[in-house]
Amino acid sequence: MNDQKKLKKMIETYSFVLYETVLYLDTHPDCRSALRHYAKYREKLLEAMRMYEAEYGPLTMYGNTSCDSWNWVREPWPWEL
Amino acid sequence: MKHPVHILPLRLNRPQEMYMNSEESSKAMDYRKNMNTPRDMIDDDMLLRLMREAEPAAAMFGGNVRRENRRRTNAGNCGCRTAGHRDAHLSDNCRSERIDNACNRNSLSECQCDNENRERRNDHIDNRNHAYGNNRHCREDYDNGNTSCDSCVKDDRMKHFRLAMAYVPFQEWEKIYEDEAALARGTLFEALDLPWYQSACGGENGNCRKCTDNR
Repeated sequence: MNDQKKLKKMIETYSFVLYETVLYLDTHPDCRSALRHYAKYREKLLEAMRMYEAEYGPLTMYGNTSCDSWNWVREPWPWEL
Repeated sequence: MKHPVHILPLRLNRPQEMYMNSEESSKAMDYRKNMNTPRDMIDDDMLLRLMREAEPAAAMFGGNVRRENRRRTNAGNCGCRTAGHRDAHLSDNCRSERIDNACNRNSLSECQCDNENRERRNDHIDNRNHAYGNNRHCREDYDNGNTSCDSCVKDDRMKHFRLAMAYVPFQEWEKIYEDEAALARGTLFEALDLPWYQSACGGENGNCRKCTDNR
């Protein structure tokens, strides 16, 4: 598995954990443990996404950072990786 | 006085259907068309396991687990089984090789089988008609201005059953999987990492028993 795939797998993992935590928080909005878990993995996910987009291009159409080119349409689609 | 805890497979069938793929699920939903009930889709092994799992709860209330009598019917046919099936002994008296052609619902009266399941099957249908009749009666009563429940809820078949209370425990934040394990298990919570039950048709690990036997 190359670095790009490793990073993408990491993003998938963090996204899943975050989503599960969000589902829990929907029914337990005052659970401090869950809120801490959410904050921890939110930071991890955003950092991993930032690293990925800086190195390999946008993950979503909101991740295009270049002012010279619309890389979103030039890079492989997420499902092509 | 000890009260038996009744196991009603009919009520337990729905969660299993969640694990079925769309094709299996649509077959399962055909039970009405096949003059069958979800309860019939639970085989003996699974019923025994459900009874074993209920024993601790029954013991807490000083009761025991008792199996309700259920009719042995097969989905969409009169009780005949094709040769090679694990219950092939039931087809000893059946002159039909293909149950799908000989024993479907429309030709039940023309079925060539002489085994006892045929009688049971007719009994099964009578019960269903009885239930439909009650519903009709209930609706007519309502249309005539009688909105009481007296005519709707009386059903002799249920007179031996006790009322039940269902509850769902509130989930707690505990036993959280590590991130990679969570993704692999499909849940963040160990409490929700439930075992894979048999498919509704009785196959192991979600595999259809009929398909496995025919391989």
